[in-house]
Amino acid sequence: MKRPAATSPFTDPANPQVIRAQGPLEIRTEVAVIGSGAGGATFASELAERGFEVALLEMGPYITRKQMNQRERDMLPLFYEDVASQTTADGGIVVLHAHCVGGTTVVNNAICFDPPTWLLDEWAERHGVVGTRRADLAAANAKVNFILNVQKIAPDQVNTNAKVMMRGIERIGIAGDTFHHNRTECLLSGFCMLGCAYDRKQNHHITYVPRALSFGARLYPEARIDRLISRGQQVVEAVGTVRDPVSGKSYPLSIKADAFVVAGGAIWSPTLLLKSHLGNAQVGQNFHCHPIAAVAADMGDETIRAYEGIPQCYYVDQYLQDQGFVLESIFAGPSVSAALLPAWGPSLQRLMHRYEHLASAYVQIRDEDSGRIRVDARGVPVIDYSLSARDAQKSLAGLKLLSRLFLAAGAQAAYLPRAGAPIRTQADIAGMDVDFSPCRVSLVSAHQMGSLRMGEDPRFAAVDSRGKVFGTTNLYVADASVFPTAIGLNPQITVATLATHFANQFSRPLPV
Amino acid sequence: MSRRAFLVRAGGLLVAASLPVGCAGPAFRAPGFQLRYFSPFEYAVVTRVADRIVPGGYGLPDPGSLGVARQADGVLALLDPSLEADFHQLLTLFDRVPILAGRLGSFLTQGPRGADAYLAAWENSPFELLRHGFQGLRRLAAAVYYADPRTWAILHYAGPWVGRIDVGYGLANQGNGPQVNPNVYSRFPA
Repeated sequence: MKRPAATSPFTDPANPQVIRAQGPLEIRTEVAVIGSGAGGATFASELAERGFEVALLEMGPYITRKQMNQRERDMLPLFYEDVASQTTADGGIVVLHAHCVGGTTVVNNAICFDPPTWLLDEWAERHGVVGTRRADLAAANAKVNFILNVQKIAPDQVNTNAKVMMRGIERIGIAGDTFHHNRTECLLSGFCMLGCAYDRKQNHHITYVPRALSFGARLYPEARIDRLISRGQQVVEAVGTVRDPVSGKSYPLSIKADAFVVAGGAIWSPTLLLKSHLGNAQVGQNFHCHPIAAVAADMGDETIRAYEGIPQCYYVDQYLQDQGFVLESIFAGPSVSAALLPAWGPSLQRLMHRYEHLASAYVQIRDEDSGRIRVDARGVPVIDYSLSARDAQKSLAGLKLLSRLFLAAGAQAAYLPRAGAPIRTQADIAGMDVDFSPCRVSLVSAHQMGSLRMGEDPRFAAVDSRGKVFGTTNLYVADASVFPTAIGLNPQITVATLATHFANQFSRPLPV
Repeated sequence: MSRRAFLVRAGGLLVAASLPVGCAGPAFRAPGFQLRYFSPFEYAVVTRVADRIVPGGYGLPDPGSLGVARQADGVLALLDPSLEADFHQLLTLFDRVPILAGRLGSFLTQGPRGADAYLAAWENSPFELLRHGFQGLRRLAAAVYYADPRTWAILHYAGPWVGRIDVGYGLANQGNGPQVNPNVYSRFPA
């Protein structure tokens, strides 16, 4: 039995550097970072470490392990946008992202992929991005891996669900691997997507946020920025509201800073720029979201209990570059599972009755075609995105492979993410046809990106290769919005690496 | 359902919906508790939707005994006020424009088979908007139902560790965990 180490004072919301608003707030700081997820918290920490005065603002609450009770009923509304029911405008894709200190890292499955060399080369050669080749990012990438304590999932940590996938992979003769992840001394409870109640998953809210505070940054939870006010090309103030988590009252918020960094994710970052009438015509364009389509396999008499252990352990990426998809093992609690299974009535009840015998994995595509983020009359973002025909073909190819894999592993039936009969035979796979029209197939997005893409030509990009918004002198973006393309892989390490890289290029005097 | 888009896109249909609402809307008795989001009419619609989406069977409890509509009311009450209107409009559209489902009577007047046919018509509609609305209702009912611990035993789902399993060195409850990552406050050895 290991001896507990001291709990950090910097993960305590009572820390005086975690500001509770009990009246209107007017803040003056050197750098204001808006958003505390994989990009914002990293950027804030890097600047604070170098001596900058940093205010880190987060529109969501500061949720600690004390509130994480592992119940979907309580945690989904607490963490997720729109009570986890946000979709694309056509309703075709459920879009998941978290609003809390630490952002989506708090509820992700801790999967870590370094930005691949081929991807960074593609960004440079096809999209004109400068200074983000592998060698340029190596130090930043290494530091991110160090702070998040990234390591490979050990063989004895692989759960039964992933072992089914491994068996199928071996039998059909393709290659897979266990993920790298940012967990330390994982207890294998399996509730990662509802927040880690034991602080073993190294989310940004227990790593980069407290690290930033330890270097003097201040954190403002529940601080919602509605608009950036500019004078000429210079942003001079951010205004919004801040909520007292104790009384529930909201107060006006004003931040004046020498530089502003927007890191609210690929939906909220362009929304803020659009509402503030900042940036060029590329703002909000080029939105990608890695649509995911899952297969649930009924493994007959074999008891899987796929909800036990690390929820995602194993993957196949050999088809990413030429066919544009990856396969990843996955499972979820009963509430999310039932919501995403494409069945209702007795069909749903029959399938859920088989819950402990179900194994599951999904195909995640690197979507080539894009959508856009716009703002409706109420000031809230609308995600105009529909799966294109060529991207749907990638998903179909992945679904066929997953079905093959599960049948090879011994599944009696593989349930596709659409209503209708399951796949039971190779002939079913050969004849598989899926109508990818919106709301005829169950799709999910857990990664959003690209809506403020970077490059050196403002005709095609919203920010430059250092994250600075074109047409401004002191406004930066540091989240997945800046990706010029979808990346196909889980993005948290790439986001944090780019944020570190951007922060490293910050220097005084700030370019006001 | 994308509440962020439904309002605008459903606008024309809601004009049609307003007529039967104004002319023939029956009075619905409020349940014996305070509704936070639904009107009594909406509560009745969601109760009926849940009866058809998650009907019990296989040893599972029936949705009425779990209070699925009441729990859904609590979930939707958490929505941002700017987004509230959309779901209200969906429920009105769903029940009061039966012609969209190819039926003569409203959803609430249908028997069990009629209600299933009504739902299936929305699920398989050539109109994306109706499929969208159906999926919103389906996901809500299914998610709320299976979030209830009273459904878990039959799934052999043991539920949360918190409060149930002592994971070692007194970590039965959250909040007293150690900082296990040695690198969080360390200088990166560049």
